[in-house]
Amino acid sequence: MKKFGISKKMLDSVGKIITFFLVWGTFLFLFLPIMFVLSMAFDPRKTLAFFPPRGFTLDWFVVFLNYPPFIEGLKNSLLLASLVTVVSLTVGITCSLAIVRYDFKGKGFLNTLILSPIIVPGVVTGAALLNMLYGYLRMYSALPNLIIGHTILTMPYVVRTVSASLVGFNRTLEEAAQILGADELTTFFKITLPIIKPGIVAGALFAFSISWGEVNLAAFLTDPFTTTFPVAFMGYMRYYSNPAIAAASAFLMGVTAVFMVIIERTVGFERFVGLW
Amino acid sequence: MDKVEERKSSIKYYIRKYAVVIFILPALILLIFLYLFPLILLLAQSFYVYVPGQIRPEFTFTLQNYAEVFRPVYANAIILTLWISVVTTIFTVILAYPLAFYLVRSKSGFLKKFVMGFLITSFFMQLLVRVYAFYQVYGSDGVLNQVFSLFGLPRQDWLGGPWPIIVSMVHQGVPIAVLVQMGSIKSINPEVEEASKILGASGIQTFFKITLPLSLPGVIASILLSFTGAASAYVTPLILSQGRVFMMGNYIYDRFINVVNYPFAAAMSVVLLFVSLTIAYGISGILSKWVRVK
Repeated sequence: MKKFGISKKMLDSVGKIITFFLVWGTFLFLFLPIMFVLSMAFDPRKTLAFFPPRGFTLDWFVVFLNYPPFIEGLKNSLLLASLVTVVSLTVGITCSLAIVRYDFKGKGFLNTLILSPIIVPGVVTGAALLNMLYGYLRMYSALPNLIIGHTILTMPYVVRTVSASLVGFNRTLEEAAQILGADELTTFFKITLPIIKPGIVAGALFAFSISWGEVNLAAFLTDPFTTTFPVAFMGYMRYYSNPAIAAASAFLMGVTAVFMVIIERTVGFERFVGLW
Repeated sequence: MDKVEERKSSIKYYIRKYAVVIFILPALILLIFLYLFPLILLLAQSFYVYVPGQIRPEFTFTLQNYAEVFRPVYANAIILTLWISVVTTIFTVILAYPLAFYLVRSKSGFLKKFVMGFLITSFFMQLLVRVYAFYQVYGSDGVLNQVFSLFGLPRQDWLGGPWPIIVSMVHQGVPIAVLVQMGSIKSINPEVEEASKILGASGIQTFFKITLPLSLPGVIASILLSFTGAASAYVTPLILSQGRVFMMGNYIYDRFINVVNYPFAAAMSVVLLFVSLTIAYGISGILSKWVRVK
């Protein structure tokens, strides 16, 4: 092998250069299209507007904010995402406690069942729920149906993040609290919850944002009178082709930026990624 | 006094004993009655005879719906869906890996934080924003056609084909794949790689013999996620091809919502579920076996 010593080194540096281009090429591929959308929000053309923008206007934000389905959808989505977060956290935290701290029959089955909505195609979950709720139970009101569907979709994320923070938990702290006279509930609220807070915050963010942006399942379960924001967005995109869509997108990115600040301040990006 | 104390402690004793049951009951009820049971009902629905205009006709067993699903029109959609999903998965995983590696191994600084922040941002970004981004790229006067006309090439009707869908779904899949892969790359001890290099292996050999096999759990997880994500797509093709490209998800949605042919849509869903689970687990099974042999 010694004969090829130089070429081996060359090969390694070629590998490094390829890696460099792959990393930054991929990043630009992810980054640039989003910037196209952001810049289009300020484009003054009425129809068939494509990047780059010609001029600057804020009119499309006005159009977007005056289009009733968008506003209706925003209200519904906010309500839905908040309710889903609460339900998903409650069910998810108790379930994670059981999975991490106890041994019981069928634990493997429960684990698989909880995580499976990630692997089962969203269309199939949506179809199955539609089939049962409409076809068999005749439950036609959109909001409860959506809460059920989104809770199932978000549970895996909550259970994963909360479990991750429970695994590294030092239980002597709880014992100390109980020796000092605290009962189980007090211990849970004063000791356990604050310590697993990063996992809960991460889980809540996953739950809220997934429910907030979810469209596969929502398209099945919304009705003409109750749409969520993404469904209204999709409807608009199918029939209009003007920069109001870009304005709506820019508005949503603003909302996402708020999430980012929350994550960085409470959990930190590195830790957040580790929890997943 | 003693008796009261005893009673109290016995109630507490039972609560403690059955704490697990109390803890898992909400999740279990939710998942069994509102997730597993609907999936079973969907399977049952696929054996119903379709009666136009009726959601729940009398049950008569039939395999007609499955025969229908494998007719050429729909079989083509199945093949197209699989092809798009496989290509999407390959690109997603290959593009995500270097980025995940960079994010784990590079020193923290502004650039790293920026890339990480952007990845998490795009994870939380609405799907439709990102689909619209590729409408801007591939549309009739989009960025790609502008570049084409710069070089004097004729404009193309990109949106009718599968590539905008694939590229857009790679764009959707990469951030999640990076997050998933980072976990298992992080757990590799860099000293193992050092050892391999000291023993004379080149950087590339070390990567393929040590680093990649050790980070395979994350790679497998990212394959599973991007494959099933792509296989169940219907919003992306609906918007990007403006209804011209039909993947399995589009037929399922259309037959449920527009045609109200529940039995056929159910049969299609069952096939989609079966195919995507088989392929996803097949790939991950082969890969993890490959690692064990090594």
